[in-house]
Amino acid sequence: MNISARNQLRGTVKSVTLGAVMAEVTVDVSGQDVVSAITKTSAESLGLREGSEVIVLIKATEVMLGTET
Amino acid sequence: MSPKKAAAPKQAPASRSIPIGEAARALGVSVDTLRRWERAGRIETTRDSANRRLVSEDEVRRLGGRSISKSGTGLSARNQFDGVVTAVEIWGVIALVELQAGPHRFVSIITRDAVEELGLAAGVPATATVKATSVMVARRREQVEPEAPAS
Repeated sequence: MNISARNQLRGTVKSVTLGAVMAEVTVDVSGQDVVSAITKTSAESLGLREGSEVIVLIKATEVMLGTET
Repeated sequence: MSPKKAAAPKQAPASRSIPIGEAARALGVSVDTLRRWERAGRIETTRDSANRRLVSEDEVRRLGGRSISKSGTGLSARNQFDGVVTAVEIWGVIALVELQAGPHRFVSIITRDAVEELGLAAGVPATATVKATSVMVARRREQVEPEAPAS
């Protein structure tokens, strides 16, 4: 599938913490952690677990920028 | 839904390690100074798979660096990437900003007003922030697809 998201980072799942409805997925992308909150259903249907090879996607409009004051 | 307790994560990521450049920035010293400190045994470093120096956040904190962790910003957002703006394109009221954060390139679409208010331009250090619920995850097909050629 091709996807429009401008920000795509390849990584490896470090941990998956399941809640009642949501799952917190921590992905290691080149040494930095990215945390994603997705539904438990999605995490399960993707079969995400430690070591899964994934791509982290972030729409450009979801990226906020800040500078040091 | 039972709220998740705000306890330590199951797989305690003991202390995140950051590239030496980021550590230098957090400590307000140059990378050369950090290398000197390393040789003098004042700072402990590790190496990543590409043999680049990494410094643990604990080590940065121990040396009095300003907080670089995501929770140190007073923001709830889980994801922060420190980097430098590489390009700003203004299209009417909207701006497209590119940020290089370590090995990652980020594209951010924000208003022109925000760009002007923050003084964003190529070369300006900035931090990209993304809330965890805005991060999607896609499974990579391991065996197939070597590296999809540009179509």
